[in-house]
Amino acid sequence: MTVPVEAEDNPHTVVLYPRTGLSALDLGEVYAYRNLLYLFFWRDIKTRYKQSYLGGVWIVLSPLVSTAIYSVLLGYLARFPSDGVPYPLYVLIGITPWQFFSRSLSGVSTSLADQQVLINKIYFPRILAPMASVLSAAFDFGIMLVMMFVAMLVLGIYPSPRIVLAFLFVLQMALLALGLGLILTGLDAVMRDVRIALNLVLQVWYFLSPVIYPISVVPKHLLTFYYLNPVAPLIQGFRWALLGGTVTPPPLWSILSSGAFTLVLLFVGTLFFQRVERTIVDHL
Amino acid sequence: MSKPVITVEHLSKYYRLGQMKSAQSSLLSLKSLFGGRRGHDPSRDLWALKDVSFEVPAGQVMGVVGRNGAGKSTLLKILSRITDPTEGRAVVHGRVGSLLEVGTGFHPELTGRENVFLNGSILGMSAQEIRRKFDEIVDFSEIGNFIDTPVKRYSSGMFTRLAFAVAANLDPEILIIDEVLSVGDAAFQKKCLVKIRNLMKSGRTVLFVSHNIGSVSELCSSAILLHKGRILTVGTTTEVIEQYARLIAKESATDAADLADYDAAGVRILSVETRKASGAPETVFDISDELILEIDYEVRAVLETLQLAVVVSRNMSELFSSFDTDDLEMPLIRREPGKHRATLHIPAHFLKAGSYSVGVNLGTVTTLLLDIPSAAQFTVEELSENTNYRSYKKERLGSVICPGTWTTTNLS
Repeated sequence: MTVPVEAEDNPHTVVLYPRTGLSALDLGEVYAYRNLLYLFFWRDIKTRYKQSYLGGVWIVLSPLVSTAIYSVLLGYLARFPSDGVPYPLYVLIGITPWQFFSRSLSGVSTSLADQQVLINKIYFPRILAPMASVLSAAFDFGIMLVMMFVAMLVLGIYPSPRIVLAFLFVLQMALLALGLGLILTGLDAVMRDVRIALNLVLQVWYFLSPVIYPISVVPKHLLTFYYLNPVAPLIQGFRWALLGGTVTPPPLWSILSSGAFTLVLLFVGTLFFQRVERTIVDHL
Repeated sequence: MSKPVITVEHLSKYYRLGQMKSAQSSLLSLKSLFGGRRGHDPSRDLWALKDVSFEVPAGQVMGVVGRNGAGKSTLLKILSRITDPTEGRAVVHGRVGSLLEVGTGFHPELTGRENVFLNGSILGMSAQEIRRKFDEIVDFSEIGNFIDTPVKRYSSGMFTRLAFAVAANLDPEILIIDEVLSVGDAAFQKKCLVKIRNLMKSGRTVLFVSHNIGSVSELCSSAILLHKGRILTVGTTTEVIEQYARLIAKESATDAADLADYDAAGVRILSVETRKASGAPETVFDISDELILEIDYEVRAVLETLQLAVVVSRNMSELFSSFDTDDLEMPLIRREPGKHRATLHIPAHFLKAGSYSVGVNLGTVTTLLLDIPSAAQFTVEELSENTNYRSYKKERLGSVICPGTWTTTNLS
């Protein structure tokens, strides 16, 4: 079906018709709605801890408790190696980017269903909902990052200029979560099983990534398979960029394959989402 | 005739019913999301909108009427870009603002001020626009100092007032309004109505959807009647409303109890009819119509102390009963054999809008001879009058229009 073209005498003219096939993301429209994107993000931050006494403290409490548990269990009792860095810091530097990834992914995956009241009543580019979820996870990440830097400084570990690379790894993690989440959220809107299954998958994924243990414990002959996990080189890279020398950097090929994976997911995810958003209201 | 601002051509929307009911149907739903149409039971499907075409010229206020499920909401959803049509297309020239649901996107934990900004943006206002109109919005809502209180502490009246105030200050070229007139108390409703009237007079193109024929006939110059997803009539408001009234009449003429089934020793009911003041049989009345209830019955053997009673129910609950002997000094009447006609005049402006059923029973002082629970039905509609700020608007409390009169004197 061809797209009907109308004489554009009004910049707001809209032609409504049954869209078929694939369509690209209208970035111009997303830009025009940037204020709403910001407000979605702001609303989420503002309301999440309202009427809770500790408020934002909860953002850092959960990674701190995990760090404490792993430090005692793995660092102190099981004597896990940690590339010469104090184990608690080592694990904190793994948990921080992982939490960002997993919160982004689950946030994006449930975003359509979570915003169904609004989606049912008002038009806006639907992609704002998953985008706002990533922003909201990034906000938490920012706070955890501050805590992480404080811990580093206290322990006398100062980051090198390589820290710039750490942010590139984080950015890629955001795009990976967005790409995969864009596929999942359309499915989740129809079958809420998706969010439950995703929780399970994330639990397994967590242990398949170098979050609480150093890469050196992975058997050498499995390392190639291990690095096929697109998150593994990103977390390892993040840790390497911050701690330097003692940590082995991820092999270049794994960064490239993870990058390729991210791009493909982002591309497929966007097309899929654009396809689903047209009539998602009818299925919510 | 000016150029159309909204052109709708052969618009159709197909729905699969029973979606999301079970795991199986959610898989079907998943399939249908990607366009497949095979492998499901088509008997549960529905064309919510079928081959709908019309135009709305610039500056016109067009009403959309129809019963529940006629397709009004589906039409609005497509025109406000919430979902794609299944077939056909629509061209909309201009920014669309919709008062579909006032308060959409309000968050209970946020303050009134924060919600104004959030809701304004959701409805398509820019940040500057909201800042510029902020004072006007707060004034209109009569919220005053509560503007910095979380809206979860608001009364429902305050909530709706603020929500409407935001929506009413939208400045779109095309306005879609759906049943917003029933917000708040009577005084606020009046204010809303004035506001909406001003919006409509400001040259905007408006699509106005309502069940309330009164407000449609007051505000709209032309209208569309939707029925089961199709357009029945497009034309002047008067034409459309007449057609709508006829449609309601046809639908409410459900078969009354078969009178032949009720036959007691010595007496039977021949007919129960409702008529207009002119005597013409009718089942749809306006609140300003006088209604005549006419019951013919046949007595075959002399009956001492015969009494006929009607029980009129509104929306399934008994409203009043009345005896044919109420006006007589001595209510013990002897009826000779033969046919009799009992007539009850119900004055205009007594019955509120609603659907009514008439039960009839006949008996002597000691025995109930005949009891027909639903011998006739009729409906009363608000056809001639906009009742938005009347106490007897259909949705308000109470079952009848109070026949009393009011006066207010200045005591100072």
